[in-house]
Amino acid sequence: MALAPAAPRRRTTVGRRVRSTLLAAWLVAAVVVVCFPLYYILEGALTPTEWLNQGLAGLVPVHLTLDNIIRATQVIPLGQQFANSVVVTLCQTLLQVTIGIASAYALVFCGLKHSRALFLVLLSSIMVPAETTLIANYLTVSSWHLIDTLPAVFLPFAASALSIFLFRQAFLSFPGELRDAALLDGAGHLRFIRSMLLPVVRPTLISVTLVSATAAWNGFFWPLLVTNSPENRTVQVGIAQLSNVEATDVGVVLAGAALVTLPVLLVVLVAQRFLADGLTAGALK
Amino acid sequence: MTGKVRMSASILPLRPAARAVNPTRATPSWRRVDRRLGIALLVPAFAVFAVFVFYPLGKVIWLSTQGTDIFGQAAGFVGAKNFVTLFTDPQFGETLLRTAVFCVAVVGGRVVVGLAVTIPLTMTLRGMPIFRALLTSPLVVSVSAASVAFAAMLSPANGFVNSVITRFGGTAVPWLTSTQWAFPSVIAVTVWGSLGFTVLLLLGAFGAIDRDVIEAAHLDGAGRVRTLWSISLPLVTPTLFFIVVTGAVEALTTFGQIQILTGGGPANSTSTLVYTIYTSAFGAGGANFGMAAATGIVLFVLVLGLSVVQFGVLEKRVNY
Repeated sequence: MALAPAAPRRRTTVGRRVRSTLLAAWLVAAVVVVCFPLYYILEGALTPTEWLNQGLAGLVPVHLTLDNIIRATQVIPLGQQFANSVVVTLCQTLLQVTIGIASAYALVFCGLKHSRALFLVLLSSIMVPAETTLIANYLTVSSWHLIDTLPAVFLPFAASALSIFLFRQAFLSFPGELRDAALLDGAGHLRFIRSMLLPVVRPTLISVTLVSATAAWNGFFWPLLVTNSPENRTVQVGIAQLSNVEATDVGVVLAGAALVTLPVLLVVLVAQRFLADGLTAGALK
Repeated sequence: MTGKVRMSASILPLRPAARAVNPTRATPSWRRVDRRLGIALLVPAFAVFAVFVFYPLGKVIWLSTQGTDIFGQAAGFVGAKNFVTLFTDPQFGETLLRTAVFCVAVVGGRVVVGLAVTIPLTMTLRGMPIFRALLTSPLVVSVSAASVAFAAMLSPANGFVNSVITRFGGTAVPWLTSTQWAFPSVIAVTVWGSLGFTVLLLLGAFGAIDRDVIEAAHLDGAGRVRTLWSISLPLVTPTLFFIVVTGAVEALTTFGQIQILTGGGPANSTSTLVYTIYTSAFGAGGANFGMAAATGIVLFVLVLGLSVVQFGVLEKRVNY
């Protein structure tokens, strides 16, 4: 045993090095395949179409220009559509977060008799796919004369079962005595929510906000249905139209794609953990 | 009364039980105010869901029993006629089958590619955090952006993919314009679009495995493959199950990729259930809300079935 020694140990280090190399090769290959479209979007947005059309050579970012982005804004009102998407995202997120907090507060802290049943009714909305109800919602929105307006885009999504679910879970772990003590000491509900509850559940607040905002920003089917005129479209619908009109001008199409991707990319770079937590929260319980 | 208060309060952890047996007042006044406030706070959520989820569900069920006049308006009760029309139409049968194939392919692709990417990411290597960040990055690309980018890359004439293929002596492939290739292309784009999220979920699941369990398996002489197969994979089955069920619902409701990449064509070869809802309600053929509603109900039943499976099984064990 004491002699077992150098040879086998040496083989294991060699084996380990081979394994590391294979692993790295596999991961690099995976990165090339998986990240290529994202690279192509970002590089193509800043590269003239003539250079992109050179095939492999076009992947080398040597002719960077903002020309594609400028031309994209000339083909469709991209700036206006970007602003529309910002408005929709802000309104939808604010509504989902506020209604989520209000509902979860009611369900957890207000001693309602059938709290659990009420919660299950709210949660059951998850089982109804938006694609089933969209015909009826389209009729509702059009009977309110909201077709081709921004409220039509976000109103149907003013409340989100997922946001209520996540806030409820966070509130349930808040110590009940602390809350009773605060209220008996004369703190109002709003004061309690603002200065005690929300600071404690801050990670959930950030996660829900980011998940809601990303979903609102990325919406496509419903915004496509309820908007008509180019200046009322959201930017996701806008770039689809751009790709229809300017199919041969790859650079312009990719400029549009990059423009809608950039805000989400920034959010992920700044707050990846919170977005990840929010996105995966449904899977863990 | 006291008992009821305690029951409703019992789901709240850490609330002192003594409060509810307070001898002087069964319900303290501030708690009664609580209830009124609670109901008021629930009104917005219930209003939104009532108007935009439950009422429209009822309306779609009603619409599905209605005929449609040439203006797309509901035109009288026709019973189950829309459903009979649907299920006797061979084209609808094809659409259902295509939708099923799409779901199985997309979910299968997500699981297989997701595991092939994630398992190496759980091993040790210098720079692994960078690989993890890069391989979850497709998460940031919306369906719309991904679809227009792939439409550009797969374009038959000047698309990047074909230009590379022809450069190396191959023949250009009509990725999105032939009945043979369009469907697999849409599947591949959909798998790519959901890969970042899949890897993120799986990384979380593998990361949550207790290292002691793995160490113990190694001490017992299990090799890496054996450990992976008999320990790690069974422990991540709840997450895999979640990916399969929610992935199936997601695949079932796929729209943007189809709309942007192929518009359901060529010759309906990429048209799924949700896409036929869109075309029969809002397509060029005129607004047939009755048929679209009936198709929507079929979709609802399928999603409901998957939800029941999800909640039913998740309550039980999914391990092993």
